[in-house]
Amino acid sequence: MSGYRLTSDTGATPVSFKFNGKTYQGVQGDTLASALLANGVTLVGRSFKYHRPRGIFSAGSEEPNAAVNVVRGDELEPNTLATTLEIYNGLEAKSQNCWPSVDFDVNAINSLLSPIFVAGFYYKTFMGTSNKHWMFFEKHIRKAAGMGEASVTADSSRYEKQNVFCDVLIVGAGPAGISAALTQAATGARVVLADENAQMGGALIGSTQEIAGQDGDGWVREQLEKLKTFDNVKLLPRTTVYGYYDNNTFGAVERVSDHLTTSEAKGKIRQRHLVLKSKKVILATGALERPILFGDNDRPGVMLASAVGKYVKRYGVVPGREIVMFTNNDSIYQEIAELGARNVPIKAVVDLRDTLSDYAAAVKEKYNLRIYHNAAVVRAVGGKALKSVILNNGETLTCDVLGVSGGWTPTIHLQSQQGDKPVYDETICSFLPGMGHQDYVSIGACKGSFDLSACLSEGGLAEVRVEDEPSLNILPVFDIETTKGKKFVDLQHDVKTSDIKLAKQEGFLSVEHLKRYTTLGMANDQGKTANVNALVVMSKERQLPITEVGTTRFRPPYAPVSIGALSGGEYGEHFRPTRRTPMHEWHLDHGAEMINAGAWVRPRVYKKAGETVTDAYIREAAAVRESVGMVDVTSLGKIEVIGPDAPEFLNRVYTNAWLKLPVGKARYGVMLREDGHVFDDGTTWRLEENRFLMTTTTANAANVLTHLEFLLDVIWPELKVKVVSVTEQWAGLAIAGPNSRAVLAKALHDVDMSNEAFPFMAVQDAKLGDIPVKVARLSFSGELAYEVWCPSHYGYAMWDQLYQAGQDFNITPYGTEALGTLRIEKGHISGPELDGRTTVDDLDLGWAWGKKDFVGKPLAGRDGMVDEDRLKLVGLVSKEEKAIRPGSQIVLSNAETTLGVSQGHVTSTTYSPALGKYIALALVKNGRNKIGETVYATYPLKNESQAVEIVKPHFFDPDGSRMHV
Amino acid sequence: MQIDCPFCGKRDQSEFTYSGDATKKRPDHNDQDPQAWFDYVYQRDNPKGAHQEYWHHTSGCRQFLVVERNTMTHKISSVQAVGDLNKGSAE
Amino acid sequence: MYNEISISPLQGVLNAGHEVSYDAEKSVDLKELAVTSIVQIDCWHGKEADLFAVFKEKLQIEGAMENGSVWKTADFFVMNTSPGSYMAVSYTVGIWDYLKDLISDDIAVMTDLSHSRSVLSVSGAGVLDVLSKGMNIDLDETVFPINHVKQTSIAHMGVTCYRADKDDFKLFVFRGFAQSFYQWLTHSAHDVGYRTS
Repeated sequence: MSGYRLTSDTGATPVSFKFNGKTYQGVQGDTLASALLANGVTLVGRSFKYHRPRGIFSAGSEEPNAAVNVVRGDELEPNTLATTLEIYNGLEAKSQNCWPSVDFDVNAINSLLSPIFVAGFYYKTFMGTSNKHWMFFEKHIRKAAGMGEASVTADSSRYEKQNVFCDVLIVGAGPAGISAALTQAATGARVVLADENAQMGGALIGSTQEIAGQDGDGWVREQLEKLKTFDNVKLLPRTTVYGYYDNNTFGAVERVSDHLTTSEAKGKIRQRHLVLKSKKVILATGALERPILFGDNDRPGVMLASAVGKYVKRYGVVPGREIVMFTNNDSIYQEIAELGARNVPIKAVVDLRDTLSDYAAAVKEKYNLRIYHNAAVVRAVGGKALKSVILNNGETLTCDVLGVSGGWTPTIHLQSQQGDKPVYDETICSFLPGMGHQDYVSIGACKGSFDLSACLSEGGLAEVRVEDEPSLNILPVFDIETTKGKKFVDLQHDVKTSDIKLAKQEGFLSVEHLKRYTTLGMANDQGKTANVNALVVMSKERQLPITEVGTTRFRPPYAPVSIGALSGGEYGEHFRPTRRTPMHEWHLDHGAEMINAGAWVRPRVYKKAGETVTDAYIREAAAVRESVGMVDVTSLGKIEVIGPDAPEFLNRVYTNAWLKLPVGKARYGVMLREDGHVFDDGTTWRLEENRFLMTTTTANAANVLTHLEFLLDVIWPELKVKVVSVTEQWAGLAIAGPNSRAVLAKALHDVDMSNEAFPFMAVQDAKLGDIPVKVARLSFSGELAYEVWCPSHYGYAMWDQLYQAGQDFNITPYGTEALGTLRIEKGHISGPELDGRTTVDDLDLGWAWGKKDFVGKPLAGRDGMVDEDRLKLVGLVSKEEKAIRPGSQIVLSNAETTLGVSQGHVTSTTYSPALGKYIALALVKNGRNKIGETVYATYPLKNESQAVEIVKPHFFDPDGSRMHV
Repeated sequence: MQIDCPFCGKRDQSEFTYSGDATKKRPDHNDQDPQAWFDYVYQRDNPKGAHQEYWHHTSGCRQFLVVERNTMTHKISSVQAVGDLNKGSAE
Repeated sequence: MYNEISISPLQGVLNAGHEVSYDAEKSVDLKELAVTSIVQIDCWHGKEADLFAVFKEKLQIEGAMENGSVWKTADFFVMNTSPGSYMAVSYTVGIWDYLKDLISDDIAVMTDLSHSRSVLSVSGAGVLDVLSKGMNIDLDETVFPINHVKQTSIAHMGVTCYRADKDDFKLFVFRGFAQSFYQWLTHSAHDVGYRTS
């Protein structure tokens, strides 16, 4: 085949690029396809299944054949369409799905085996055999399958997302879309006009058809200039609107720098994902030409007739030297007229119809065309390039390009995506949009208006004069009878008419089954040039009118969307936000290894040189019980509960009593879910008569707030209570250990720290230098301990000042590991025990069970909730001096450690420096009656098990005397 | 999906948290009957069509809204703030 | 208000006088605003009109009682962030005692949130472009008027967004998210350029 450029003197900037290792020249504005055609390249790839040689079929995003790999630095991007890829200096592209080269592809042998590789091949071949057969062949099939090759290096491009709001969204900037944009912009509405191409204008680009006294390019240029003067108009070229969602919401991808050279693109956003929300929507998405089916219709050189026209009009590139056109309708004559206007000769026209319309006759006359009537192409001849076509009368016409027009398919994907059922139209033999659910209109070719004048008038510019144009005049013949050669319906997935026949034969009648059984329409091109012809074949097979065969529903995306674009900028450190305490930098400066607790970041341990995590937490926990330690507890949820009904409200949400809590005292509280299980726990302090400060676990802070808000807003609006989150207002630390009082007595003033003046569970205000603080005598660790809270901006200073004050007592900062160790040693429950399946009694908190009514009480009394055989909280001590793995199952005998009946599981574990043993908390069936028994903790996934003794969960200082000194 | 919050205006669904069936009436706080509570906590109809439900505007004004949504089409036919509904009955 | 012991969450992170591809035609200005006090005022059901009457009388408030409106006085402003709920903010004075005297318990309760937020001012020609990369609400003036406040989220962080002028927004985020938020801002403003002050 010998494509060529009409004139080398285009004035456009030359561009140098590589394809399959060879360097070529193109010009700025070329796609890879137009540049390759200009250089006489025919063969661009191999088909999916049969590895048949393939060439360029179309000139747009409907392309089924010419998908290539693009080299981007270290990365390889597969499945890029040559027909939409704008070339730039340094572009490097390669054919895909072929080895060693597109010219000689080893897997072409598949073509010989094609009678075996029919629809349903895998199912028929491997179903019913043992799994071994499939597993043997699977690796080879996997290697041969697929199209492009994915990169394994991280994507180094920058992407971002953006939200766009407007009054009118217009999808498609052809004549209809541009007209609509002008009309809408004039009303003052916020208008967004999007088009997938770099250049707006659609079919008018390069068109010589007269419009308002100008040619296509002139008119488009003038309108776009007008649109740019409106500041309520946003133009989005290179933007594919790929999905239509509820509430007139659309997904789109704007290709910001894909067309730039590597150095020009450096540092720029590569693609931008847009979510567009519009009050009104105008879909002007145009139509795609459809082919006619005949023998070996996939040969390189067989193209859509309008693509031949497009390459000439838009790019100045003629795809071949001997062009034959094949048609069942009049639109082809418009393309031929455009080619004629540029002196591109047409060897012959093969017209299925017997007469010519006036328009076609005029074109024939003007360009002296040779037309065969009542004629059809039955077979294309050629391997890696088209050599000739055979007509139904037996004649052979040599040619290197066959332009085929079987009519036009309105592009109704977006309409269909949101549930619109398409309606078949006899005059165009294709489908039009049906009734929409949302507020949109379809105009122009996508609703079957193929005339330019109709497009303009539907866009609101009825008064614009256009030159005469033909009607479609389509003869509904799409599938030529032939016994020779393969007739491809879906080029990208290599689905032939015989596959459709086979599907019908095997009982896959419904169009949904046809699609999935044959994979027709399921490739990257989503069957854009295949679907309607497939319905024609199926309707003939089933002897039903096409309207009864049915249609499948289109799903987003219209065209492939990169995962990078969908992620927007949310990767790496921007994947999710981090919530830091005011002491964050101090922790890092002092060797803290941090850990995530939801969005919060907390110190896990403060490692000293040479320490492992385990070494560190053992040292920290021991230091707390030995002298004094401090831990950052800022992340705990804090909610102010305010109002005259606050005590009553607390009384209703907690299991224990609240009405009589004195001002200046704190109390531990347990909260249930409505279904009677424990939800959360914490301490709540009475700051004033009608003002309480509730603390929650870090993990449940948001959930508890929501729970309280629901009760107040929906259930008890009559209660005069307000809840306000103050988690961010306060920075806090716990200071624990026998010397904690001494440290605070030294550092604080305006407060009496003695045991008498500051009893257990009291809350007092104090000053730490100039910092106002609230001090609560609470203990999670079981040691003499206090929580110290200050307004957040003072947090760092508060922490550091107390740290300095504690130097005389060897104060040790500790993290979440040691925090855990200390509370496990005391048998205090936390997150792992509050797993939503435990009751107050299960957790040994029966003392907190009040007599009054509270949330969750009625359902907590169900038989299954009070059964003695429930899993109850116990302690475990390792009898083998081994760490007990959390999540281990408890079994009664050694014989059951790989297969047995679980009696419960381990919830929290640690090495206990206080006891010198490995311990754990666990929930064990009827556990409280098994104290002293030996059972086994087993973890079959890691083949670990050991003997453990069941003990009371309060391992260390069981009477709690240490907190009360 | 978008919900037209009476205070904040039209917002994307991601700003809200679904909060349950709004047709269920919670038994009185001091009602001891476990069956009534069982019904409130567990039993739900699953209507095809209009469904009244609570949505919490967690990323916005944090009101609870009663939304009537069609479970087939997700079309929302009405949105009312619980606060406004209560004002009618409480005061 | 920041000093030696009262430390900004953006200390060492947002440094004034930093410029990245700044162009007055399309860039944004970023600035941290140090706040002296923030007080949340929550009205009891049906008492909003009483609260408004107090403000109108004592503070000579300009403006109507409208969802999301912002009322300004010489020293502070009050943002109606949700029904019956208001956030009073002052950059210069402590307003807790003043408001406590003004508003009785049977009209509303108050909570001090002065240390709970980090406040960033984002302004300039590129502000709508930048904010729309993380905010999923319509920023057009017809929908989000000047002197109004909207609560929403930006990049998964809750934000109270006060539109002080056409191209001037004050963003209040949780103090704990200050650094992440600022990182998001500069990342998103990279395209249009920005400078800090």
